[in-house]
Amino acid sequence: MTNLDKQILDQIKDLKPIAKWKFLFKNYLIWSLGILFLIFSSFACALLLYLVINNDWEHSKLIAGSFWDYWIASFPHIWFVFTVVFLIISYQNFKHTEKGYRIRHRKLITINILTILFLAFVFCSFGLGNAIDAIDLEQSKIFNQRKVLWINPDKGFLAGEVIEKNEDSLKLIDFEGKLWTIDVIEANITPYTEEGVKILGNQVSEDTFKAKEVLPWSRIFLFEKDFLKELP
Amino acid sequence: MIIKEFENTSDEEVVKLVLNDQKYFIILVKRYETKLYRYISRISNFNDQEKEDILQDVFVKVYVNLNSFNSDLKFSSWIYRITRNEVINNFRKFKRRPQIARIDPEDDFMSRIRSGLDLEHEINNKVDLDNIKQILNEINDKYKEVLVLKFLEEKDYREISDILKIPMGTVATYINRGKKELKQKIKKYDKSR
Repeated sequence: MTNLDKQILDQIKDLKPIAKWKFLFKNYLIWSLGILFLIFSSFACALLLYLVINNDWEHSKLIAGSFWDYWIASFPHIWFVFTVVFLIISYQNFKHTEKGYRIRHRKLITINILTILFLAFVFCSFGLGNAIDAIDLEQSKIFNQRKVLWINPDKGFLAGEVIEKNEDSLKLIDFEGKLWTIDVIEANITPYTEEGVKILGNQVSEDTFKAKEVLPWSRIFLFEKDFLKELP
Repeated sequence: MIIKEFENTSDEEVVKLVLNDQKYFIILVKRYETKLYRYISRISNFNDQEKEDILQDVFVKVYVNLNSFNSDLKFSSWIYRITRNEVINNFRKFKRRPQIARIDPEDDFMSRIRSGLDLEHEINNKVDLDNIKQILNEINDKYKEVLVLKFLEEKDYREISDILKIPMGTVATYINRGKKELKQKIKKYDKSR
């Protein structure tokens, strides 16, 4: 035995290999975090998708004056940032799995993005996006600017939940909790879901609004079709 | 004695034996100490004492982390990876840069690099071993590292990929780029003479 062999054997004499479960735990942890952040990213992307699809691009000039001003005011930047940040964390975890290095970075990122888009589409189809409309107005300033933009009765935009329907009027509670009477005699009404409506028109008095157009608050998305209820 | 007895046993089988009884670890030490010492010499310019210290640390790490060895990998790839990491840690510790420090004449490196890199025309008799060593030291570290593993350690693409923890496609890219850079440097060297 050479001197080096002896030194090596002397050094390991009192050592023991680290237990296998510790390596397995670390490996599963990296995989779990990768999957968890992939799901987080998909959630964020589902909300982004929902908000972009439902953003009122056709009324952009009316609401903000120009398309770009409307884009800046209403694009869900925060959800875009969350989607990307969670995507990066997820990618980093997958890259550091035992065999993550065998896949090219570009391929791994592409697989991650496609999975996130697919899951976001599925989540959105089953109505997850609507959850963002349930948050209160204060939080909406950061997470759902669209809701804030539609509390502008003096400019002719109003949105909220219909609590009573009559032939020529609706009772509506807006996102600030204020009760409105909506005159719909001359309004063009598009069938809407029970979740809510957005109304274009004019404010007549403190709590009365004359509608020109009544639209569903959100567009239907694949499997949400069943929720659609037409006005009597 | 024990070395002879397990001469035909695969590394992966020996690993299983070591996990049950430490005494079998000497088989792995004997199988790899020369190869790894030579590899450390090829990728660094540490002195003999430093190289022995690195080698000792490598074997201690191998033993302590033996349970993390995944049999989907070749054991040799795994132990080379640990060695490379240990050398890099020592580069950081001593603030040194990777160097091609030793190419043994008996390595038959010249003929391997001539045929393997398709450099028959570029490498003629005027360019000798020392010149090649100097030229190799001038090329990008990441290409150099792959060329060393491919042409000196004679590892295949999969093994290089597992040692360096990069995709096989990247290994191929680095070899091509390294080859191109090497060709250019040899041409430049030839012209300057």
